[in-house]
Amino acid sequence: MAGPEEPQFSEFTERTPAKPPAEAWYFCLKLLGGRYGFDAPLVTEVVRLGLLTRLPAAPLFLPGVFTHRGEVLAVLDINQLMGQQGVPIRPDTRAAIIHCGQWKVAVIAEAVEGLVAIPTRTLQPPPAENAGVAEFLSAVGNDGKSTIAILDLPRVVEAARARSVPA
Amino acid sequence: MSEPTSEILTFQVGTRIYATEVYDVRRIGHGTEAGLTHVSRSCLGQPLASGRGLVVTGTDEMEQALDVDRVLGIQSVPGSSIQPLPAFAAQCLGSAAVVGLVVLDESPTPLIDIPTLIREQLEISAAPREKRIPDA
Repeated sequence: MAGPEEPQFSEFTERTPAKPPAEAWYFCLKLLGGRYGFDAPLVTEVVRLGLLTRLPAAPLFLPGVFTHRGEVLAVLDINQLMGQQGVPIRPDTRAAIIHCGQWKVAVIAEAVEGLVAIPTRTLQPPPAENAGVAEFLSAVGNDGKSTIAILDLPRVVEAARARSVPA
Repeated sequence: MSEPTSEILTFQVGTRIYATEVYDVRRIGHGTEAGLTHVSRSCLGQPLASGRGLVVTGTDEMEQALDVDRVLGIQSVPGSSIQPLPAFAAQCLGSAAVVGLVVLDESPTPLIDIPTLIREQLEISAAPREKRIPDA
């Protein structure tokens, strides 16, 4: 009596690792004079900054808050957080609204590029430095135009928060 | 049913506008009024001229005043205009005196707890110089 038919194809699929996607999508901002990407799903929208209200006793990397669709949002200036000159705040300054865990902030940038596809074969480990922005990089890639440093944005936001909490 | 309202006093320090709950302020005095503990310099900035003093009751029941440039007025705002600070901002501020925001004409205005602000400022002034934190 013939046994059950062997599912040859399933054995093949189980033992063959999934082929990695040829490219990864990141959301790209111009910061610190360079191109920085981070996980695209963190971004909910890109807005022009409204009238910014400065908050008393705020650290330099928190230049203020503004209202967007009835919600008050905090603005994060990564340039300032990294000890560099802040992003100039003008009527045309744009911000990417991001959700990082429990935090929702508007990250201002020198320019907003939007989504970019980076061939995964170009992604390299970040430089082995432990200072400045290098501390927060998860990879470095190239989209064919130039290098893009991939930021671990949730870690950046958490570092900003931790840096503000008095010891 | 009408929405509950809050009475807000708005004031100006330097070029910036702030708000406070009216019931925190006992009275409005002069910036030069004698017999009061005056706080001029704080994280709100420093008045360009000692025009007015927002007089509150201190922890020892003595009157204390926050000097401001101008008192802009008192207005009744719907409760929905008063919002908490965004969570991220609340975690980052170096003062507990910024207790929220009042949205006036679509613009968020910092809501200040003046007794807390004065207490913090007096503590900073009393601290050894190296422990002082810089003003905003």
